[in-house]
Amino acid sequence: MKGARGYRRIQLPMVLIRRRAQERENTHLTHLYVALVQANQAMLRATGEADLFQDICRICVEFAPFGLVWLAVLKEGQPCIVAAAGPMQGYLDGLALSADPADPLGQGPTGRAFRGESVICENWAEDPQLAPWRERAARFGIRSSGSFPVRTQQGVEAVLTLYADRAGIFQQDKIGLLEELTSNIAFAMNQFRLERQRLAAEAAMREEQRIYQDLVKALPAGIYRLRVQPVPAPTAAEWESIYFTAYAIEFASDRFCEITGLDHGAFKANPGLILDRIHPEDRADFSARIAEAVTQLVPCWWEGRLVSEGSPCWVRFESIPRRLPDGGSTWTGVLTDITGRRRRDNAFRRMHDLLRQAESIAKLGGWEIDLDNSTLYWSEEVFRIHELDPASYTPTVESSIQFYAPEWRPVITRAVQRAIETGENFDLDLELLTATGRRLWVHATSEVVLQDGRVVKVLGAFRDIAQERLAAETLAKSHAILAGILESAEGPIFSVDRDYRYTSFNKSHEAAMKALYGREVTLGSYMLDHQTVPADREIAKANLDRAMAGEAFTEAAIYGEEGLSRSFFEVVHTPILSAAGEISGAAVFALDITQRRQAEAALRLVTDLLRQTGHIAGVGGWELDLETQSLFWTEETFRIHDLEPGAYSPTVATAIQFYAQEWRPVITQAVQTAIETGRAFDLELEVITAKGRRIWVHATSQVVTRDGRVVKMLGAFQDISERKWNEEALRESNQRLQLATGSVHMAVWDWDLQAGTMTWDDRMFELYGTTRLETQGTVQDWKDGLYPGDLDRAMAECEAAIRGEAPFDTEFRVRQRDGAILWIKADATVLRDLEGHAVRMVGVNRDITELKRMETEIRNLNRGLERRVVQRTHQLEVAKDELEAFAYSVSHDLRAPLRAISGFTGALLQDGNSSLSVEGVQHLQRIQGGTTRMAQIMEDLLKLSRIGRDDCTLMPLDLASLADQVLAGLRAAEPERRVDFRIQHPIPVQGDPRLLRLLLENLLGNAWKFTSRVAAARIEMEAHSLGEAMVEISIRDNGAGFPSAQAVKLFTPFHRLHKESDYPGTGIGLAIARRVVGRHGGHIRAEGEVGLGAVFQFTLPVLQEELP
Amino acid sequence: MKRPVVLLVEDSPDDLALMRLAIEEAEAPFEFVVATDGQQALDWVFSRGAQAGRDGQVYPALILLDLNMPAMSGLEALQALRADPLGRLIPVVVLTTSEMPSDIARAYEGGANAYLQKPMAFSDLVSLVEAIQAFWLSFNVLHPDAR
Repeated sequence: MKGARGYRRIQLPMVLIRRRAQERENTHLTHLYVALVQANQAMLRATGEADLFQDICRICVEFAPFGLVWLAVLKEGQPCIVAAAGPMQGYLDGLALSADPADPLGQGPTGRAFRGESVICENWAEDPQLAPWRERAARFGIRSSGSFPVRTQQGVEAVLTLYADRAGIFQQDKIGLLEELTSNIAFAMNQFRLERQRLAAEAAMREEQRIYQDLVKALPAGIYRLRVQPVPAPTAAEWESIYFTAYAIEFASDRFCEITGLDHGAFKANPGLILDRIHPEDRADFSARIAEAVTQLVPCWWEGRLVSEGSPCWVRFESIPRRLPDGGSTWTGVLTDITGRRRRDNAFRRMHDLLRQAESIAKLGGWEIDLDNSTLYWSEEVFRIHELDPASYTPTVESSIQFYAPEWRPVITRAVQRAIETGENFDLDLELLTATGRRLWVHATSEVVLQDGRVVKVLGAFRDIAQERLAAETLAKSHAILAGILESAEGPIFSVDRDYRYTSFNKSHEAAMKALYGREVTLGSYMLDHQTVPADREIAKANLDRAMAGEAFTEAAIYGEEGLSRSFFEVVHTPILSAAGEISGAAVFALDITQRRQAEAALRLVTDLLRQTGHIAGVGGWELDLETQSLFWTEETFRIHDLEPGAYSPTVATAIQFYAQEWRPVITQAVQTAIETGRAFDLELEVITAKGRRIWVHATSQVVTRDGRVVKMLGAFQDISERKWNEEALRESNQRLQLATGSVHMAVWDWDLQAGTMTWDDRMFELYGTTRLETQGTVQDWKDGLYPGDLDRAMAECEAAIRGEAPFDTEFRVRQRDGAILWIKADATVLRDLEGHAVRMVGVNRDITELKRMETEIRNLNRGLERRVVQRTHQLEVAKDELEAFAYSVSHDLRAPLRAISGFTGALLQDGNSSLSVEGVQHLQRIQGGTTRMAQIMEDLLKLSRIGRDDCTLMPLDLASLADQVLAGLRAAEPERRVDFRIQHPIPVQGDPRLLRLLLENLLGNAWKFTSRVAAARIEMEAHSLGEAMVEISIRDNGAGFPSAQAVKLFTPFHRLHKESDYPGTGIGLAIARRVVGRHGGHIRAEGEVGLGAVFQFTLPVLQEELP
Repeated sequence: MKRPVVLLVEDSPDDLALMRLAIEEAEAPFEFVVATDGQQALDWVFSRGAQAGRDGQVYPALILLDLNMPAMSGLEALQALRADPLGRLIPVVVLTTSEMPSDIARAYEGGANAYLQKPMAFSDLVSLVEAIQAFWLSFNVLHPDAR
């Protein structure tokens, strides 16, 4: 019992102790649970990692029996305490830690925990690895510790270390809980990392968005994005109606709203507002474009105007679609304000217009001939110069040449031709007949454009130089005119320098001075000296001084000696200005007006009459009062001069100036004659009008005499340019034609189809064997001259040409009066008016009798030649047949004796009983060899002769398979030989199978033969096409070859390049080959090199593909 | 057994001599009769003219016919032979130097049974005789009416 009791006694305390320990243990566990729960709650609350760590350390110390808890993370590979709590915290001050396994410090619990190990140190007093920290730990009462790695997704990221002041705290179940704590910490750290990453990503996104926003703001273009509901393909009109519902604005940049002038909010609410912003005129176009783009879902752009306060604002929409799964689409687009660009475009257009105007002012046009598509381009000015409407006329090279005056057409044609053919530029002044029939001078130059040495384009400038030419001519003329006027002027004219010395005077002045003062005036002499009447001198000097002071004035004066020869003058004084503008002298023009007034009354009467009649008839009138030297023109005369009636006062001097220079002496003379003799004139003259037109006028005169003296002249004045031009043009072109045709013995005729008149040139009369005296050169004369058998045909061709059906280009015979027959080559051109009616027919006749005679002769010669060729060919054929028959029979007949020789020799040799010596047998063998060779030669010769004789029937066949057959034969004959054949398959040709087999037997046989001494013999055959009709075949071997210089001789019969003993053969094989190829219309050639081999190349026809 | 008789129609003495030698060399077991032109040959076959008195019982088993002969050519002889009901039954082998296609064609058209070319070498001629003997005189069966 005692024992039992004692046992129980003992037992009890032990139970108690255990129980107490168990309870303590439970308490610790409970505390740890609580700490864990608290820590988890802290994690839920946590806003930051640092706070959380601190909380966890605090909670562990507060709720669990730990004196110190800290958490370290790795920073730059070194443990770094980021949170700590507990009364033993002093321990951490200056604590040396390391995670480096090479460092002894790194072998401590922290270092090892960072390497992933949970390190429990139950007894600090004994654990040897704690040596570095033991003493220090003892000071703070540390007895045990646990270091736990915190494993996140990144690996061990932190270490949680807990210290206790007692040993034996870290049992397995507690370690488990603490490890759970560290895994929760790890979870939290992962969460924090994710959060951090999310924040960073968000920040980056925000930054990006900000950049984009800035970008969109900074863009000069507006950006928009809109969404379009699925809609069936709408028309433009439908589109406008659904605009308000089918669209949704997803985005529109500020700039977009700024450009369109739309309010952000309002636009988003109602996308249809954009339509109101489009300029009404452009709206339909806009809608059509949008409708098309939305239907086809393709990128689209549109340019147009927006409604704007001030000037119109030009914009460009550009957008790209993306299809949405629901059938709708989103469109991302850019809106650009292109007003500036448009302005630049307009500026450019204005420049272009200016250029065109400048072109027009300079009357300078441009043209271009594009030879590649043979088109002619004219600039607008060229059209204007031609007086054509660019819209209704398209120029061609041929038609444009027709605008030149007939005499200039050959010139321009030749120049253009030369430019095209040789690249030689031209620079010509030519006369043009415009669409309205005006004749004007143009200056045409060219510039060729070369490409690859070929003329591809000719371009040039084209300028109306009528004015210029006229101006230059006028200038040149006016000097002469002035001189002429000066000389021939009625009144005295003279000029003096500042010293009163003569610088010029005219005959009239000379005469007047002689008459008045009896003085001979000379240039350079002192003018006043000649005025021997003192009163006259004084007046003259005063007037000259007045003029030299700068005044132009007219004074009436009476000069001359009283009672002697006194004249009443009206004197015009003018200062003479030097080029520098200084007065260098004075000019004086005196007019004798002695009898002026007398006719004035009569004049008025006539002018009235003239005015009335002239205007009606288009006839102008003029009147010259010789007494007053006054000239009167009717209104019509002014008009003819291109002047406003009354705008100018004509004088004899200025009126004469209107005449073309060459006509001035004529009119002057006529007027003079009329005045002197009273003989009227009736002239056709040329006048250059105030506008520079050169016109023909018909001027007639009558004289009014009084007391047997002509006092007045009057006449009619009529513009006859049109008639003259026609006459002139005809005459000129006739002349030119004469010149041109004379040199080539051409006769020219001109048939006015409307008037029915015909004109012949001299040569025509010659050709038709008549003279101007005998015939007039009429249409009937032409018909009469024609050889009767050719008349109907020639007339029919002529009529066809007039109808425009065929050019007149024919030959006919002319029977001259003396019976001579001439062959004529005739060409003609029909000229048409603007409506296309034939107006004139101009043609040339050329005597081609000699040519015809030669033609006939040649024809006869040819005929004879042909006959002879036929005969000769026939003879040759007969001879050839005979020859071949001969060759055949020769070789045949030769064979009989040969066979006898061969046969008996063989019989002798075969005779077993023969008593022949060894030598005898050898001789017999040689005889036999010779006969064998001779037989072979004859056989080959027969073949050769037969190739030419037998038919050659072409049919499609494969030369390669024919070659296979031939080679199989060669192989069978010498099976021991190893030859490498490389035959291209197939080689389709057109040929005669028998002949081609013969060809291959020879060529391949040669190749086979000549490679017999080569170790690795090789024979190749290949073909390549030569165009559509022929193929070239090469047969190549690497055998003995031949000297390349011998290549040509190879094909001659019996020509051998090798010794018979080396390579047996008759020397005819290649002749056969050549003949076979020749019969197929091909060629054969050989190339070779000694020791390297030979190649034979020949051509054969191939089957041409049939046309579909 | 009676040895068959071959009628050899050949004008060239050389060829004839060679033929004799070859037949001898070939040791061919047949008799042969020689005619030196077509007329002779026909006379012999039909026992007429110069041959009127010959033994009519001796009848050729084969005729070897040259083409180029004076007097009557081989082709003419062939025509005459084939015009006869009995002559038609005799095998005729043309043995000639000609290789003209026209000769070959006319020989067959005229009723020749074979066309052979005279070989150049004696040994070939011997082989030819052996072949003729083997084919025409050993293997070939004549028309029952051919005597």
